[in-house]
Amino acid sequence: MKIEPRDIGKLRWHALLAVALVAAATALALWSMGNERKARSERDAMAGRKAQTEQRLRQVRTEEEEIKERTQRFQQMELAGIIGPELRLDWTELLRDLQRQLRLPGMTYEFGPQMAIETVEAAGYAYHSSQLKIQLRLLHEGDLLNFLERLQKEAKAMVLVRNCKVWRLPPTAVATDAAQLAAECTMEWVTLRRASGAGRP
Amino acid sequence: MITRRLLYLDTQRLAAYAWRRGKLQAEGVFENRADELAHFTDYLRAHPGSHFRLLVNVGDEGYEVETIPFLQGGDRQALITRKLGQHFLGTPLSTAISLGYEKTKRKNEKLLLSALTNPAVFDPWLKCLKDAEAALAGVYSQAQLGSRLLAKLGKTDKRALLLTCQDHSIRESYLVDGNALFSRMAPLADRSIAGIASRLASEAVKLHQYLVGRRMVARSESLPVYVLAHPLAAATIRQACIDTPSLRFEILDNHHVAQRLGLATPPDDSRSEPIFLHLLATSAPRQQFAKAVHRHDYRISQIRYGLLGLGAVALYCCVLFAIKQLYDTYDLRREAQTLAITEQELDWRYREIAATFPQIGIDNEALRRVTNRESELLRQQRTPDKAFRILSGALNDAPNIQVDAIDWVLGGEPGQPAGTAAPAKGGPRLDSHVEAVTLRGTVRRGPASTPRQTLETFEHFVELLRVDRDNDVGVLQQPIDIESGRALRGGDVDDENSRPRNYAVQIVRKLTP
Repeated sequence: MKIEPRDIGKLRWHALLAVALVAAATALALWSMGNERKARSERDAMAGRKAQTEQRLRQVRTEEEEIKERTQRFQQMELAGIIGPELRLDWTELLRDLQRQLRLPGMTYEFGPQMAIETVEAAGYAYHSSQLKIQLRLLHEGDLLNFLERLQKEAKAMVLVRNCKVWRLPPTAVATDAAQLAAECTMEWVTLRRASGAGRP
Repeated sequence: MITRRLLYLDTQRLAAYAWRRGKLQAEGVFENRADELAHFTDYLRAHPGSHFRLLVNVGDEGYEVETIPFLQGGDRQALITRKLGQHFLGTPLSTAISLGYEKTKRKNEKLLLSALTNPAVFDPWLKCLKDAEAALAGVYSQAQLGSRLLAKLGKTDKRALLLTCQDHSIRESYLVDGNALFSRMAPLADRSIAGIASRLASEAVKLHQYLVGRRMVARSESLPVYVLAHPLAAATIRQACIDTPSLRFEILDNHHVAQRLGLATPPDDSRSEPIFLHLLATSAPRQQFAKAVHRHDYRISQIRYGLLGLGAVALYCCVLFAIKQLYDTYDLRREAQTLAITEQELDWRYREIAATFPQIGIDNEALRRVTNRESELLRQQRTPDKAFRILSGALNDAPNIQVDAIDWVLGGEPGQPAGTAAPAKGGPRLDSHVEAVTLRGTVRRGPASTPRQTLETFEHFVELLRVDRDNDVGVLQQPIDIESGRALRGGDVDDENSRPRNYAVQIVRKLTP
């Protein structure tokens, strides 16, 4: 059979209708597939949430112990002065007390500005740190170790020593204070405080 | 929905019928006159969506049996066309039916060639069909349908005669293996039951004699003769048609036949047109007489309905698919709702239990994060105490080694945030899990010592440092530089050996929690 030009006119509307039907069918299929896919992902998400909650509930008894332990630690941090604003005056007093008690011949220090270590957004709390650069004059290296140990124990912050440099003073520099060694340390004084903008729970 | 319309053409006129669910409905009768032909064209135009089948009952028919060599495809078709041209010159309404292949080695094919030999009878009607662009599915002869009729009625004789009455004629067909090998039309002058009966009896004998004369039937062969008749005429016809050794008559009750075939409008008399038209509507033969040019609009109509069918099938399938998807979606949403309710219940129970925990103004998740981070930071809370002790032990066993400076770094260079790694010059790479101690000092041997002794003292000191497996010791500066890549200076000056030799060592230690 040979299709003639005049036959095209006879077939035109039927062809268009067929195309429209196929297009409508495809659109319908795609729409229903999209709906199904969306519903499936919603169901999967909900199943995930349910499994998570179920797991949490299953662990709630052991969690109870864990939360109590963590609460205790949190309270210890509060008592140690780690939580809250920096107590810089207390810090400087502590440094002076330690120098006096350990009979350190010389000490100079500088606290840097406070900076956030990171923001734990979901928690509403953030750890902050102030860097301390301190120079000490020592009779022997044991003084430095004692100084650092007491600082970590007694400071109203979490003290993280980053580096310490100890060197022998040249004989000409040994002054009346009898210092044999000089030391320079850098440390981070870490405190925890509520992130700005976070309300109390 | 395609409507089937049937056209019945005899020598006098053309009758049009609509066929719906086994019912034949007469729609018009047209005679071969100009005005009637115009009416016929209008009738055709009024039914553009119908498919028409033309059943002809005319006297001008030709039948020939031919044998052709075994051929296939275009060659076979070309040979058949040539044979049709040879036998039925001048008529386009011809067809060939294969009667099978000979069992000989050459496998010759036997063909029944048949044609409607007087095209002038058909031309005006075919022209109307063409002008109206009517979809003509095919042109069929009544003889073709005779074999179908007997097959439907379960009459499976190898050879048989079929006699039927029409409006003004009797159709006599000789059927062999389901094909009409010969057929002719005899005029019917007396249309009374007695007249029809006597004419049927005489025509059966005449046809038999003709076939014997043509040697198409053996003289001694007994042929069944089937006569289609109205039940009221059956007794009269039975009386007229007396069985002979050559012919055995069987009267087919046309009401019974109509019922068997599913025709809802049984014939009012012995005329067979309704039965053949119904047969044409329900099971038209594959072979027909119209050429491709006559069926052009039928093919176009088939394409049109094919396109619509394709669209409808696609829509139907997609609707089914969409229904299934929507059902699945509904199921999934219901499942999600159930899960949400269960999750809320579980969460409520969790909160109920969690409410009994100590309350310190911070929620449990925040508490976890804060304390976890505190633990991480505490792990970084170190002092140089242990490193100094290790150095002290080594120095006790190496009295000639003097230390001038110790540089202790935890997890990186000073000034860098904790946890960042910085490469140590000439030593191993540092990370947050290591501490590095850089030791600078001098090796002091007596004035009589040789460079070899100085180096041995230094190496002994380094070995002492390496005793601890956690120490990764790297020498940054040798007391005496004997590397091939550098200049080595010396002389005979005495105080050369007594001069203190500087060294630098870096120890990188892995931190244990």
